[in-house]
Amino acid sequence: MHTDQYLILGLIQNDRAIIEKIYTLYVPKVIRFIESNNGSKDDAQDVVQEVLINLYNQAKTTSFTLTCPFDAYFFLLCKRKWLNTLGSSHYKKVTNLNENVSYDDTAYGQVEETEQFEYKQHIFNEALKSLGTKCKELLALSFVTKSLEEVAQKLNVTYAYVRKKKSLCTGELTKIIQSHRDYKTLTSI
Amino acid sequence: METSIFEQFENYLQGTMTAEEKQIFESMLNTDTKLLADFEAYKMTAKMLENHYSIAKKAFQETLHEVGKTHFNNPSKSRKTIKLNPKYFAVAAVFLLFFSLLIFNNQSFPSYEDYNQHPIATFVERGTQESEVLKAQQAFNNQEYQEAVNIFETLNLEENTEWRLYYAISLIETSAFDKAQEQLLTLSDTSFYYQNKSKWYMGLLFLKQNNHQESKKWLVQIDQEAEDYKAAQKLIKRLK
Repeated sequence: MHTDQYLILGLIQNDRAIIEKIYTLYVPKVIRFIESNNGSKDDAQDVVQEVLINLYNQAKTTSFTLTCPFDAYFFLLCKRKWLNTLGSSHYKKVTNLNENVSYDDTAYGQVEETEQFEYKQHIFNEALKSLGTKCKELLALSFVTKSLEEVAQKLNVTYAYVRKKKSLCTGELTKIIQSHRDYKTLTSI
Repeated sequence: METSIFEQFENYLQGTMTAEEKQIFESMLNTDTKLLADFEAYKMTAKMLENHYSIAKKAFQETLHEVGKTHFNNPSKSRKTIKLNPKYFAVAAVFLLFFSLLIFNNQSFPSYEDYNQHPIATFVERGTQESEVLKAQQAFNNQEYQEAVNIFETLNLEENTEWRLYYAISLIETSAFDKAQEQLLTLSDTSFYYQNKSKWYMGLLFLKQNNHQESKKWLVQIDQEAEDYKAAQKLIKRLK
């Protein structure tokens, strides 16, 4: 684990001081890069936020361990995201870009892991959109309400029904994700 | 996959299995690679769901948004210089002036018509063909909004929140603003899933009435992760 791991921890703990530090130390380089590559400050803001939200998601849902300096890793993520944006208007699978960069293997490996996770998150988001309305409603309620008993009361059904439905809906969502054409090629974390 | 297997996955993850059940389940996972793969997939989905709806994540996004605003408010120091051939300077200057006025006007006066490309209605689910719902769906997708309104009013909107959303959009299109507002507020109260969508349409409802203040009031409430967040942010800038 790299000593910069505390930055990742700061993100998931919503530590404002650490988030400010990231913006002060690491974001200006990203802004300069994007502005010199057909982008605006707004574009840079979008890219930075997307990357940080993705890191948050990855750290929250997987056992994410930083093994390289945050500086190079963060810059590479933002740079690649910007170059991908320039290349197409929709999200596309990351392809290896041929660049003359002096990043060591660990930074690159970490970037690849993060981008793969981002794509998994994207598949999840798409699958959730296509889930039936009743399932969506139930899942939304069950994760937001304090207890499943309360959910049962709100929906005027039994607790046993909510429990069963929640697992069935999660299962259905899982099946949609597993049936995505790219699911098998993504390495498991 | 048997549907009951999902309940087993859930029970295992929640720790509600007995010691014996747990042992049996774990030995199944050890011997059945497909089951293990399905379980891992289910576990990941459950984690992503929890993260997707978490309040902690919303708080984080809020912090990012605030910190981003303060850091991005400093004007850029770099300036691009355009070299103009003195011969064509006058022409270029007039052209630039005209063009920038055009953009300025467009940017300053957003109109409802810029934003009324509605999502296609697809209520009719596989195998359950209710002819009135199908008619409403077709009317909506054909932009026959008054017709859609008439049919929606014969349906029981309690049955399906999606119908209510499209009813509300149809009411905006036919300028029945009070009714539309009522429907969007009910939608927001009864459907957690459509909260951001109803805010987006409240924004459009007021935009159509040229009430920029009210429109902005609703648009700023849209969550960062919502589908319409980026569009809302762009519209907010135009409404300033």
